[in-house]
Amino acid sequence: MGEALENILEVKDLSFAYKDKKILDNLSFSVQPNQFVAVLGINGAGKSTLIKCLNKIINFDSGSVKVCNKPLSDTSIVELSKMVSYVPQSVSTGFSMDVYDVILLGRRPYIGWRIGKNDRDIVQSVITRLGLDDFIFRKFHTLSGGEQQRVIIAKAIVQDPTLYLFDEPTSNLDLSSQFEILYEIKNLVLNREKKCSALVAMHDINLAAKFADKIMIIDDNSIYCYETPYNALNRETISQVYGVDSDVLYPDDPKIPQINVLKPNRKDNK
Amino acid sequence: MWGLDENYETQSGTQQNLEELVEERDSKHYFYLLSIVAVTLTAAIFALGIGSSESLGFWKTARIFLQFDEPTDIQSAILLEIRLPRILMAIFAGTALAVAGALMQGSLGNPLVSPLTLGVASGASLGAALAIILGFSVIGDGDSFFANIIPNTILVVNTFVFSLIVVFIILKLGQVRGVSAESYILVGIAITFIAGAIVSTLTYFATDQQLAQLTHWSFGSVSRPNLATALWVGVVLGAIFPRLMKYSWDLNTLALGGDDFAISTGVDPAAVRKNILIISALITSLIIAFTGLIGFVGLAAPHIGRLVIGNDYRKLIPCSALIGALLVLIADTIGRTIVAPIVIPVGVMLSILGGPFFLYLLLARRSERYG
Repeated sequence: MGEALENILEVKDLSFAYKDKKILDNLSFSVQPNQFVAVLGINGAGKSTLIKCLNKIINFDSGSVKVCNKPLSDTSIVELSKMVSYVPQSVSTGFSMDVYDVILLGRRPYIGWRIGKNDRDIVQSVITRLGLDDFIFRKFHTLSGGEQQRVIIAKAIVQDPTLYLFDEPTSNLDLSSQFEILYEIKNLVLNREKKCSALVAMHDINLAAKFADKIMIIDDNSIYCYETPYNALNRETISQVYGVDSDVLYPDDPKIPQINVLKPNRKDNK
Repeated sequence: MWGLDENYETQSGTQQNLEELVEERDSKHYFYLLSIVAVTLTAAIFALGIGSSESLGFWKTARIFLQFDEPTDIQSAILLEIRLPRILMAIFAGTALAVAGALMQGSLGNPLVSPLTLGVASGASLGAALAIILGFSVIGDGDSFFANIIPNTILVVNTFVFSLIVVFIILKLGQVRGVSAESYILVGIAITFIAGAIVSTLTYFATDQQLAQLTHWSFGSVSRPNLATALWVGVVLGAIFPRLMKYSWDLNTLALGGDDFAISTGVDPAAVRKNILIISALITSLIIAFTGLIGFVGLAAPHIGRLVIGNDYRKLIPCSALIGALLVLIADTIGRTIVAPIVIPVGVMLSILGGPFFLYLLLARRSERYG
């Protein structure tokens, strides 16, 4: 992207229903370059559905999505995969492969049959950058959850997208792996050579507050708020969306709120 | 807060090293492939030389085959007119069924699938039963142009057409239910039962002679085609295979991560799956129309291939093909020599010899999970 791109992602009136059950109702928002957007919400709020709608995994019912100013409806799956990389919560392997070959799959949208020197170079630089050198000939399924996640992220980076979509990338991971993965995502969106952004569905509010530039909370099938962590996270919002009483603290940084959950305040828990 | 980019600079020393390691691994794999080619060729020449009469040694056969030695008339007749078509057909059948199996396992993401899973076998049986018992044929009385190049034309054309019809029905119904891998497999199983029931009903009304013919057909044998037919089958397969290789990347993506992963990597799983299933069905039907039912190799060869070379379809397709060819060739050669002059059908031999071998591989190398 040579010229300045105003919005990496533009979503207008996006709606999706599954068998008469509304899941997403008229969502409109945009994502600017170099932003880490955390998508929060309770289980079943539609976080994963939203992510999958932006990626053609799910075909939404109405509304429009533009990635890099190109409407999703006019973009083929191959073209889209050059602009958008998706990292699922986990990849359950049907047939396992060497880690090197898994990462190489990220070049699939760009190559016919032969892998060029350029493709190999990109793969190798990403492998080195994520510290995966020691893994490249191990079978993917023998890696731990955190290692697998890093491999899939490497594959996503190799795809050279403008928009990264992460669907709960840290749910299965231990504390330090969660930090490593989020740190890596943060590094991606701060890269100044390629202006890209990440939309990250996640559960951990405190990690979201630490890493995200903006927080989007999805509640009742629509966007409850889309703000900086400082503005988005307060007692009222937490109580409204999650049904818990909490204290909001600012332990490290006056701009970064951390939520200390006290007790549920609602019997039905939505 | 975020210390950036400093450690992002790639170190060219490490890079060079990585590239060499990958090249080393790939050349090791190509060496494996070439070794299997060599073993298969040796086995083929060996198989050409042995039989219930005119058993020749390996070198003698090789010299005759390479036209250094002049064969006697009887040697020429037995080697070139009886054994050569059979050996070629064994190689082609093994290649085709193994490749079809590898493709179907990958595109459906399921290690239990074989080329006969998706109704091809039941369609072929139905076609054979209709031809043998009711005398029904899709090409009338078979007194056509085909009859000159294909022995037993009616049976061959019938099995080919009916297996394709059944696969077509399965593809259409699978699409109605959604194009997921499970829907194809489930619809395939349902249709297999229906076609099986029709065949059972037909056999109920068949004469003893017709029953014997149908049973004989279902055993599977590579001895039926003549040299011209075998060569034609080879030409058709040779035309199809290079085109299959371009699906390697798509299959890698689908086999590793499933549909969502494929879409986000730029692969349309529905389209790839449909194309792969049609091609697999075509080459499977082509083979079993001539040979009858040969199972096992389509299931086992791709798995043995995975143990040898891994799951990368760029290498797995050729590797499965070679292992399939070798398996069928060995099974057929043992089948026709072990209690000669009685010939044990290749389908039976494959399961007797291949089954325990396959089990051994799976159990001995169970850490190499691939399914």
